[in-house]
Amino acid sequence: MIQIHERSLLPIFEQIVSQIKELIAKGALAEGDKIPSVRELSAMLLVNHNTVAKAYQELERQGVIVTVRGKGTYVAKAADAPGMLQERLTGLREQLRRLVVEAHHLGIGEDQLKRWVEEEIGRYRREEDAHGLQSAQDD
Amino acid sequence: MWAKALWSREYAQARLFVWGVPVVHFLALGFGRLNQWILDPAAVGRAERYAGSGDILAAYQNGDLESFGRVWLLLAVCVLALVQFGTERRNGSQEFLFSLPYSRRRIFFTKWLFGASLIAGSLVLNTAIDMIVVAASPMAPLFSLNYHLTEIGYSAALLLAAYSAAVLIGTVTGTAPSQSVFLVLLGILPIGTYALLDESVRIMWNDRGFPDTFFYEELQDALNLSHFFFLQHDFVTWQKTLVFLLLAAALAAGGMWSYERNKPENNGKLILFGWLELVCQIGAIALASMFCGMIGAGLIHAGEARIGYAVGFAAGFAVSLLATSRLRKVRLKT
Amino acid sequence: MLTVCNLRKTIDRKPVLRQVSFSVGPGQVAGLVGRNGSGKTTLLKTMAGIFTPDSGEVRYGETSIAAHPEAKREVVFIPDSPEALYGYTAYGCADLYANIYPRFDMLFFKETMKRFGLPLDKNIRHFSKGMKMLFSTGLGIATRAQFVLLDEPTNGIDPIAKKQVLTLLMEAAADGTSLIISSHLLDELERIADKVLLLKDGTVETYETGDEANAGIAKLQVVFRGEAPAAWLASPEVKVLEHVGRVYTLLVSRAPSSSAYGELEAMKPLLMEPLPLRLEDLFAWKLGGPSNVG
Repeated sequence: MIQIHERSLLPIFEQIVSQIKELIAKGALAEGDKIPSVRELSAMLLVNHNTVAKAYQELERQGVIVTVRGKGTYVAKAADAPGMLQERLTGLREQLRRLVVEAHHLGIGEDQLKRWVEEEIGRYRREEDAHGLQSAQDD
Repeated sequence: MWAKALWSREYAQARLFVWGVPVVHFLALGFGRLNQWILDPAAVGRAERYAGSGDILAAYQNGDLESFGRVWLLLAVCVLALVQFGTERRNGSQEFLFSLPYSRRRIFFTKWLFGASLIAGSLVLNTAIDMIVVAASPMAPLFSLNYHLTEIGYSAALLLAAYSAAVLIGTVTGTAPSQSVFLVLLGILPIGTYALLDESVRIMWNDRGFPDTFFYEELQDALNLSHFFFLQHDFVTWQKTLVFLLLAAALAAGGMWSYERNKPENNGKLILFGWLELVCQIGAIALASMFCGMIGAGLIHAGEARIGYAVGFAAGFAVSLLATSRLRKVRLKT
Repeated sequence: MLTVCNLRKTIDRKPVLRQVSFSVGPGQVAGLVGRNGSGKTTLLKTMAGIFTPDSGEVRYGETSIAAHPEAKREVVFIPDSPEALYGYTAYGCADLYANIYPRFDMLFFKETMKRFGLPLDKNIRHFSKGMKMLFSTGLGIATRAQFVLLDEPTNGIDPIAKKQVLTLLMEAAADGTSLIISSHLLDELERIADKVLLLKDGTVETYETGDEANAGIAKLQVVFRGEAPAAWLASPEVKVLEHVGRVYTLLVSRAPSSSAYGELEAMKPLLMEPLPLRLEDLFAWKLGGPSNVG
C-alpha cells in the first residue's frame, strides 16, 4: 500500500502524507474507508510511531483524514478536503503535461492532439448519456 | 530476603543435587547402619556383647558411618559450589542474574542459603532415619540421643564451613577449572605448607625440622584438614563445632563481600582480583621454590645438602615466577 | 526517564567509556551506533547493572540503579543470545520472569508466541537464531518494563524474522515502551529511531533523527568550475562520498569555526545542490577515516 523510499529526497513523514493522498486520488482509498491506526502503520512500515503520528496530524490538518475517538481513523469526505482537491487538480495538470510531452515525442501534432481530446470528451458524454438512459429505464 | 525467582533458578540448576545428595547420604549412613544391625545375621549376637559391656561407642562404630557420610557431603557441596558459582560465569548466567532487579547481596545469600539448606536438610533427614533404624534394631537398648545430636551438630558445622570455603573460592576465581583446582589446593595447602617448611628448616638449619613438642603435634593435626572429616566420635568436641560454625560465618561473609565486588568483565581470568593474583603468585613461588629446593637437596650430592637446596630453590623460583606471570594473563574463553 | 550521567568504565586497562552522558524519555526509540569494539555492548551492560561503572551513574528517574537494584524492574536487558535461559522452555522462562517483574503480561507473551508460531513447551536451546531473538524480544516486552535495552537484536537473523522482530518493537514503542537498540543497520534505525546515540572515543553524541541539519554538516552534489580543487577536497572539513565523472557528492562542515562551506561558495561551482543528510553519512563523517578503523 504505502512504500517508504529510503533514498528519496522527501522526509519520511512527508512521503506518508503524499502517498495517502495519492491513494485517495487514485481511488484505492475511498471516502469513509478506515485507514490503519498510528500503531498499525508504524508496525507495518517499520517507521517510528512519532513520525507516523506527525504525518497523520498533517493529513488531519489538511482535512484529508478524520479521527473518530474510540473508533479509528477514516478518509474524510471529499467536500471536506480542500487540500485533496488541490492535490488532485495538480495531479491532473501533471498528467496533461506528460501527455503533451509524450505526444510531441511520438510526433503527434498539436492539432491532432486537440482533435483526439475533443473526440474523447464526446465519447465520454455519449457513455454518460447512455448510462443515464439505462438507469432511467431500470427504475 | 525471600525471592521466589532466585530460589527457583537455583533449584532449576541444582535439581539433581536436591534429590541425589540425601540419597547418597542415606547409603552412607542409614543404609550402612541398616546393613550392620538389621540385615547382618550376626547383629543380634554383637548387640548382646555390647549390651553386656555397655560399650555405646563400639556399637556406633565410633562414628565411622557418620564420617563416611561427611565425606560424601563434602564432595557434594564442592560440586554444588562449582555449579552455583563457577559454571555460571561461562554460560552467561551470572550476567543474566546481575541484570535482574536484585542486589548482588541477595543473589549471593540465596545461593548460600540454598546450599546450607541442602546440608541441613540431608543431615536432619538422614539422622532421623538413622535414629529410627537404630531404635528398630537389636542395638536399641544402647540408643543414645546425645550421640546423634553431637554428630549432627559437628557435621553441620564442619560442612557449612567447607561449603562456605568452596563458595568463597568460587567468588574469587573466574573459571570453573580454576575454582576446582584452588579448592583441591586449599585442602592440601595447610598441611603441605607445614611439611615443606619443616623439611626446609631441617635441611637449612638443624637436622630435626620443627621441634617435637605438643604444640607442633596439635598443629599438624589441625592443619591436616582431612582428619576433621574422619574424626572419631570420642574426639568430637563442642569447641571444634563452635570453631567451625564461626569459620563458616566468616567465610560466608567473605564470599558475600567478594561477590558484591565481582566484575563480570573479568570472567575467564583464573583469579578475579588483581591483589589476590599477586598474593597467590607470591605464595605459589614461595612453595614451588621450597619444593624444588627439597628435590635439589635430594638430587644433588655436592657436599652439603644446603647447596643442593639452594640450587633447587633458585631454579624453582625462576620457573614458578615465569609460569605464574603467564598464568595471570590467561583468559579462558567464556 | 533513563539518565546516564558521566559514565566511565575501563576494562583491561583500556578506557572503553570515558564520559558518557545522555537520556532517553518514555516512548522514545534510541539507536546506539558505533564501530565494532567501540563499547556499545559495554554501555548497554553497564546500564543494565551487569557491569559496575568506575564512576558516574545510571538513573531511572531520580533513583540510581546501582544503589537501588529494584529500580531495574523498569529496565530490562535483552542480550544478543539467550544462553542463560537454555534448558528452560519458553513457558518456563515466562514463569520465571513473571516472578521477577511485577507487571509481567503473560497473556501478551502467549499471544506473541502463538502469533509467530513459536512453541511454548520446547527447550529454547533448540530454537533457530531468528526464533531465539523473536522469543527474547517478546519476553522482554512482556515484562512491561518502561525501558527495554536490546543488543543488536537483528544481527545474523533471516529477513523474515528480522521484520517480525522490528514489527514487535514498533508496536511496543507505539504502546509507550522506550527502546534503546544497538545496531549496525543504519537504514532501519533511521526509520524506527527518534534519536541516535553515536558512540565514538568513549563518548556519546546525541542526534535527533529527521533533524540532521543540526549536525553541522551539509551534504551537497557539486560540479566544479574547471579543475577540482584537490587541496580543498583533502581538507579534514570536507569528505568525498562519491565521485562520478565531474559530479562529486560531498559532506562539508557547517560548523561556525569552519570556512570550508564559504570557500566552496566562493569557488562558484557549476552545480551546488543540497541533498538530504542520511544517518549513514553522519556515521561516515563522524566515525569513518583511517584513525577510526575498528
